[in-house]
This record gives sequence, C-alpha cells and structure tokens, in this order.
Amino acid sequence: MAITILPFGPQHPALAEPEHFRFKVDGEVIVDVEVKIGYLHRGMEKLMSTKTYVQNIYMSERICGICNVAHTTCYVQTVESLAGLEVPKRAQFLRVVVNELARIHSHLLIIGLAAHEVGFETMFMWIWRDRELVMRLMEELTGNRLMSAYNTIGGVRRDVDEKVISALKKACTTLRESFLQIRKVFLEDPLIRTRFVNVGLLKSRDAIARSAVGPVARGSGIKTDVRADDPYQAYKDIPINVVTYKECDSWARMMVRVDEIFECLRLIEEALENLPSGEVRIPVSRKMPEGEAIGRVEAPRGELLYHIISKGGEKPYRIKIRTPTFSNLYPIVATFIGETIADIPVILISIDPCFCCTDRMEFVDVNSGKVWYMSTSEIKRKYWR
Amino acid sequence: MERKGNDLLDKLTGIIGPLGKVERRGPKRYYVYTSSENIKEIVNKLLKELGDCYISAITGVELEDCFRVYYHIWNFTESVLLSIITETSKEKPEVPSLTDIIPGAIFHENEAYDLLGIKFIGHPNLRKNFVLPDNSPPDFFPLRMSQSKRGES
Repeated sequence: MAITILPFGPQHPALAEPEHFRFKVDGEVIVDVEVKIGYLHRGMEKLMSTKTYVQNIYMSERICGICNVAHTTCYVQTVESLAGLEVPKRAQFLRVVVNELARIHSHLLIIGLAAHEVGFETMFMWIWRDRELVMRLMEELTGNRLMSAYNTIGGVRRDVDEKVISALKKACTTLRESFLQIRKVFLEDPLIRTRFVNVGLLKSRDAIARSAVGPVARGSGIKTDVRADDPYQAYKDIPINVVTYKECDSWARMMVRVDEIFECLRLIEEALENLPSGEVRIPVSRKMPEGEAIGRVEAPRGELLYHIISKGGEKPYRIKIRTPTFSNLYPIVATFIGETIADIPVILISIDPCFCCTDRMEFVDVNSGKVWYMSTSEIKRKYWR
Repeated sequence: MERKGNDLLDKLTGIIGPLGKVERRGPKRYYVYTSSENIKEIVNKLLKELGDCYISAITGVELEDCFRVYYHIWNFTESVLLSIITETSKEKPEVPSLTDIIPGAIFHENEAYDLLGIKFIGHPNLRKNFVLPDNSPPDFFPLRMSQSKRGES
C-alpha cells in the first residue's frame, strides 16, 4: 500500500495545545514521523535578558501555567546561587510544600486527561473533583489558584499559619484515600490496560541515549530524579524515594505519576511536620555580581534547567532555559514507529507534553498535496474583513 | 563532602588529561574548558570511564569577540553536571556535533543553530526555522547581540 501523510495538529484532539506532527502511515501503521515545534516560541530567553532580575521572576512564571512553581523555583534558586545567598530554612521547606502541591496538581491533570483520551469520562471527572481540592489548597497557601507568585529571590512571599497547616494536613488524608481508588483503577481496569500496556515502548538504553528526563525516563526503569540526585531546597533534609517502573510502556509512564502523587503527599506532610521557625524571606540587592550559575529542578514533567550568565548589574546577560518536554520529545518520536494511528493520543499523553500559544497555521491543498503556511496576520489580512 | 568534591576533581582531571582544563564551580557542578576539536574525544572518554551520560542542555552565547557553547552533560554514576565549554570565532561559528555519540543532542543543537547561527558539524538534519516561524529570513538569528529587541537588525 502507498504511504500516506497524515498531518496531526497543531489543533488536534489529544491536547488543547499546539504541536504539529506529520505521520507517514502505511494503512494503519506509522512508518515515520516528523515533528514541527515552535508554535509556542515567544522569544522568552531574549526578552528576559532585557528585564531586571525581579521582573524575570514573573516572566519565568509565565513560561508555563501548570509548571509555574517549578519555573520560579528554578529561576530564583539559580539567581540565589549566582549571588551566593542562603535562603532561610523555613522558606526552603515552604518551597518544597508548594512544589509538591503543584506536582500533584500537574499529575492529576495529565492522569485525568489520559482517562479522557481513552474514553473513561467518569474517572476524568473523579480526578477533576480532587484537583479542585488541590487548587483550593494552593489558594490558601499562596493566594492564587494557579499562578502562585509565591517564590521570590531570597525566600517566599507569604508565611503559613496553623490554620493553613491543619487544612493541608487534613487534605492530604482525604486525597490519599481517593488516590488509592485511582491507583486501583490504573492497575486493574481492563479499558486502561488495553489502551496503555505495551503501547509506545521506550527501552532503557534508548531512553538514556536519547536523553529522556523525568517520568519518561523513570517509566523506562532509569533511576533519575533531580530531587534525589542533585538535591535542592529542603529536599536535602527530606529524602525522597524515586519511583521507577521497568515496563517501558505508556502504562509505566502513567503509573510513575500515579505513585509519585503518594510520594508528594508524604513529602508535604513531612515538610509541614518539620517546619522550622523563623524568617521566610531575606532582603536582596537588586544588582547581581558577575558570574554564572546553573540551576536544576525536578518539574512535574522532568528535569528543568536554568543557566544564567551575568555581567553584573540589574539585568542578566543571557538566560538559557531548557524545559522538560523539549528533552522528552525526541525520545518519544521513535516510539511512534510501528504503532497504529489510534495509539497516537495515548503515546503523546504519556509524556505529559506541555506546549503553549499558537502563531501560525498550515494549509493543505488536498488535490495537489501542496502544503503552505500562513501567519495569523496574513490570514487576518486576506480573509478577515 | 568537600573532600569528596576534590577527589572527583582529581578523577576528572585524570580522565580528561591534557585535552582540557577542569574547574569545580560548586557542588555537583564542573566546568571543562577545551577547544572545539577535543570535545568529541572528551565526551567519548567520559562515557567510557564514568559510564552513562545524557545531554541536559546546550547553551550558546555571544560574547564580545566570540561565540561560547556549553554542552551540559549529566553523569548518572557520579551524579554530576559537567559543562564542556568551547569557543568559536564570530566569522565562522562552527563546533562539532555530539549527535553520533549522544543522539539526544539533536534537538538541542538544532535550537542553538536556529537562534544563534552556530553550525554543528556532523548534525544529520540541521535546519533553520526549527523553533522560529517558517517565514523568518534565513539570516535571522534572534539571540545575537546585533539583533535589536524587536527582531529588526
């Protein structure tokens, strides 16, 4: 049979986010895939080098809505290491609490979407119910449901009181009970197992060579987690257990996330139990010394890296940001080959992809097979009156 | 803790030898300064002597008189981030590609080429407009200092 080209995205059913895949299919089987990324490219790195260190906290927060806590944590900790600052212990523990809360939120989102993707709408709604509780806790802790604006250079912006601590502890117990139910479904439900088990195999050797990070690497049995290997903040004081699965398939990648939620709950409880007293923020100079610093954080989707080069003064010279999905995209592209069209959404969702903001569209002339691109402004000029 | 750091510094210096200069920049952070022709040999030696590594990121930056490229490589056995640093001229920015040693470098290198115009020699599919819009001109490298904030030179 002749090879057919199947364009998938930028607007596709698997995600509400733009990414273009061009699958070459032989009947139902995928034989090759090309990726076009960059629909999200907003020139953040360039823009950040024109803003001050304080403004950049809010810039980094807006790179990704869901991982906003991971982004600010990584940014402020890189700046702090550039300036040689030691953040108060209490702030370090609170950063762990807010990071783990954000991780639960992010994992719930993708587990819910995975259930939705295979048509398990009931579970999708169960998970949405729990996610609402997490978002309310986030509001109690930081003042915002999603964009937390909690981390700042030199500490955190709000302290916690007894009321918030007891609310968090109570919620941890409630959440643990409902997650046990979700875990049971993921382990046993025939619908979930049929769609996820043995789909999108990524062997350990390939995962290392292709530089996979986070739950994708851990789902392939690689014991890697920045919180354990390169501990930052209060993770030095609260040791974590790295969850790994050896199955290497989409199911393993989802199970890593399911099990990590329990680990997150334990970390929150332990951090609140051992919360030191004292300041949560220290005053910091607006100007930074000359030098370089590299910060790494385990974001919900994997390792996040910030590299800041400073030439002194109020503005950074260069900020390099490497987000986890950027690393995970190349490993996952190979896993599509040999699978069927119906498995595309499942494999894609199993890396928990995170892209933002479209700026362009692709047009295909069905008769001649000619492909061309138009920018939003061109479309406006041509078709909008 | 500190003693262990020095042990590792000695070990890394032993592995890399005369090919580059190793410097400790903090806990689990090491810089390796080298020239571009030695990079592949250094990475091959590190993989052989230290075990599995993955490429974490590639930073490209334009300085006053040259381009500087950082290959950030994480080693699983020693749990350490090695940043291999090399410099290349502004007139002909070319560095070797690591894709034949660590295939995961493919996207990182392409991004650096797209935004800064640093050519990675040996990259299988180095293309412009990897992350930039398809209608951006072929000589448009937004992270170069000659580009103004709005992207107009």
